[in-house]
Amino acid sequence: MIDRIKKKAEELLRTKQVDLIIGYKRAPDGVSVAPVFIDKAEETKELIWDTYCVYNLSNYLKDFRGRKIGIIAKACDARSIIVLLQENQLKRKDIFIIGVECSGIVDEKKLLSISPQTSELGFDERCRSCKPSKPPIYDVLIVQEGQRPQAPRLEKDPYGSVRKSEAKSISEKFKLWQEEFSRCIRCYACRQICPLCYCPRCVADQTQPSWLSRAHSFRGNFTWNVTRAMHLAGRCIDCGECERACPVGIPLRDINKKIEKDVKELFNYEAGLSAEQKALLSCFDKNDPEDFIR
Amino acid sequence: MKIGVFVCHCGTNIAATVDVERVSQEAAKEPRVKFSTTYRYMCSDPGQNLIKEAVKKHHLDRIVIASCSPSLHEKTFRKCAEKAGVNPYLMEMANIREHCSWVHQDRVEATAKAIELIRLALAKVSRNKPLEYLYIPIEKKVLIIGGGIAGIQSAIDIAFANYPAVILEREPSIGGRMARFDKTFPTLDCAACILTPKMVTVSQSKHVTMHTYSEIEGVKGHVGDFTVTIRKKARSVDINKCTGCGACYNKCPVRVPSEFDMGLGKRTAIYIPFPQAVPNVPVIDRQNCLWFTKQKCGICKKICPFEAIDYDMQDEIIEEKFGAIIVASGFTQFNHAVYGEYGYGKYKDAITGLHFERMANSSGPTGGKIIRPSDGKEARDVVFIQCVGSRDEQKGLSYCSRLCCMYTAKHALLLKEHNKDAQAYVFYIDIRAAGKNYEEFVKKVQDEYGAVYLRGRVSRIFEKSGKLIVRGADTLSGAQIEIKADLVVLATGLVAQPDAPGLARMLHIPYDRNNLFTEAHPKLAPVETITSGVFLTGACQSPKDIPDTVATASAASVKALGLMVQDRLQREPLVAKVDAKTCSGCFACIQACSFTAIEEEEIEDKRLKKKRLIAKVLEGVCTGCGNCTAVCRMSAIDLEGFSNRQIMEEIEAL
Repeated sequence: MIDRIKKKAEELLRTKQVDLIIGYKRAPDGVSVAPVFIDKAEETKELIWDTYCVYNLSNYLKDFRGRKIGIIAKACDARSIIVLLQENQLKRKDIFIIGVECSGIVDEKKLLSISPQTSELGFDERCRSCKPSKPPIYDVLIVQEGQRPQAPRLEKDPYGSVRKSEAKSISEKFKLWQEEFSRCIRCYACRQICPLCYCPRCVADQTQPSWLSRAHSFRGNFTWNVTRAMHLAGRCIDCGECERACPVGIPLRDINKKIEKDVKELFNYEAGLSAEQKALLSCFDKNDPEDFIR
Repeated sequence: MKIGVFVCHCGTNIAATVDVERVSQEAAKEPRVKFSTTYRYMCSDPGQNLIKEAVKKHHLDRIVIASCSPSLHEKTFRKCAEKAGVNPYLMEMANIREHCSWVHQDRVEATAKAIELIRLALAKVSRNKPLEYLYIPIEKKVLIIGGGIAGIQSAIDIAFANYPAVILEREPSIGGRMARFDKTFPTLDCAACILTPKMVTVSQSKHVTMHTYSEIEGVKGHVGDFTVTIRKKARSVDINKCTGCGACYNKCPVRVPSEFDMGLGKRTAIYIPFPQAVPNVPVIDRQNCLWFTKQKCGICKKICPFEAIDYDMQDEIIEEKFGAIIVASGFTQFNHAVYGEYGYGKYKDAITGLHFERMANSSGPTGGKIIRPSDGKEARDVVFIQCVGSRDEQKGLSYCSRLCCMYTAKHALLLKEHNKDAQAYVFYIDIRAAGKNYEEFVKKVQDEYGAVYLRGRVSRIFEKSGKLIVRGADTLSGAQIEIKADLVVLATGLVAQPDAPGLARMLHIPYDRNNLFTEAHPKLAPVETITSGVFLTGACQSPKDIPDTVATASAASVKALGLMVQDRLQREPLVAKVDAKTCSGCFACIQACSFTAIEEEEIEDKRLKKKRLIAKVLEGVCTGCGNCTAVCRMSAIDLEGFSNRQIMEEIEAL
């Protein structure tokens, strides 16, 4: 598989179809991976592809606006590219998507505790609710060959964990999130890593008016995290990068997943499936549910 | 910053519940407040003078008026501020009447709330920026949607003032419902005799353009500058070549039921709906024309001496600009199929009032004879049933259709005029004859024309030996009634056109649960809509008889002319504004804007040293609804006069 990825990347650069390839390379530790930006055809041999390629590289696309970029994208990464296209942050003609068939990626944190006895690799939780599949958008698709690698065990109900926390009482939930958010150090890693957090001036940085307290306090932390979650409503494609990047381990995916479920149930809408679909929260449809109007 | 606070008593409207003096004293203690006072009626001349003098004396630069809803007196106080030398947008109102004194009883608590509301207004006004009025040009042309009596009257009035009017009519001729009527109550003028001169006036006017057989496809823009897309349906006859000689429809071999005659008569496939049609140019009904269905015949083309027939004619889409729009799209009849007991559809001799009109008309399909459609025999005993659909929340409409009492009385009279031996029976719930000479008319029909009025409902109609047996109750005598009728006429109610909601959405005007268009104010702005530049007339708003329709048509025309005579239109500067540095160009705002007031704009981003697209608000189009500001994640789009800072400041003050 990797040979075909390398070959395609080499060809794209050599024929000048793209100016730059964004892909993965092995990190110096010899196990994990790092993003790599290649603009010379001969350097494409650095590229790798395996279950350790956790990062959603689409986050880098907006840094190269106006240039022709080739990008290696898993299904989840491709969905965020779709949202970026839908929101006019990218031009389709400027990007060449090398779609890769994915069987799930590892959870970096679980890697530390993995042992040969574990029957299953330390797959990331989010891969349990994603059918390992083809990206919904690509220019060329690199499929897996031969024996398929082991895939994560799929959850029967992708929103099982959401349902569990929904069942808790409001005060229980509040207490839980109070604890979680109290750890937040407002480093904004979640924002920096999120491919969909592209605002030129984030509301968290605005001072006139000052939307949220910047102090490291529960009030400010709460407002920040909830605001970010709301800004992702109908847009988040659950690439899980925010949770992975969070240095204090706040389970941010739980919030995003809850909103994703609400959006699906209320509007039968899933983000990042088609660039033609209208952004959920900025358009009106006369069939939208309105039972909340009383 | 020197803010003045002016607390209004509104007579006792506010003062009875709110301790205005205390409110004023408390307001005076707020920071930046330099002056505070109360007055009996702040909106009165002395009240306004008080404001002006205070501004001068205390060098006030911002004003808070604590009084009624801004929807009533915001304009008054903006003007007052302007005259006092303060920018009108440095004035804020605290609504201590509708939001306070009218809805509370407890004086202490209401007073506390009034003080709180003033504190919010003070917080907001401290963040206000002086704004300048916007001026937009006005396209000096009025679109009239619908060519019935309402549209015709509007066109005549607009043209009389020497402004161009365009009538859009989807039928092949103007004239609308009124053209189908025989006589009109209560004076019994013949409808055609009073309508056709108006139709001719329209067709002869150099200021009126008619787009008949045309439909509205889309409306963009705003008051002063509407761009309307019109589909001119293919008439298959060249309107410029045709002289209306009639050779084509005299020779056309096809016969189909005439819509104009409610199916009682026949028309040809190439036809004019009625002899006085304007324009007097036929149209080919392509569904029934042999040329279009079987590629045969072609007689009309051969026979036309002016080569006006064009089988290849296509629909034409045109775009025109207008400064104002008058909606005169009219009504349709209530579909009484829900009343199985009245036998309509089942019995040929159960007809509607509009059928009766066509029969009574001497140029109608029966030549003025009131007959039984089943066998063509002249009808003698005729039962009229009122309130078919109207005033029946269970099966029909919650409202009264207003004209059925009168047109039924007229029918009863016409019946007797057409046949001396005939007898009319009228089943009614109440008789509503509230109009000039209306009651007298009904009385005349009862007394002089012998119409029998029975107060009650009909329970069943069935056929027996060629007659329709009408069973009902006379609730006044308590008797059960059975009438052997030759003919039953149902006075069906008036309902909105089925496509009214679509038109309303196009025009951004609201409609009610009956799909009738909603006026801006039921009493004080009866022909205006909340969309400025769009006016209402006739039965598209509520059932109206001809006098009321004509009156609202002229009223709407005056409103439209009021715009036409202005050089430019002053608009409130309360519009959205984009901060170029913050805008990411996601264009969620474009999707959210119901008024197509936002465009993409390319800017040179100095920070990125690149060109990029951002949102741009068209100030003339923006209505200041704020939809865009709600969807903007980066809050790059803000509403002047209701800016994020102002609202945030208000919340902080709470």
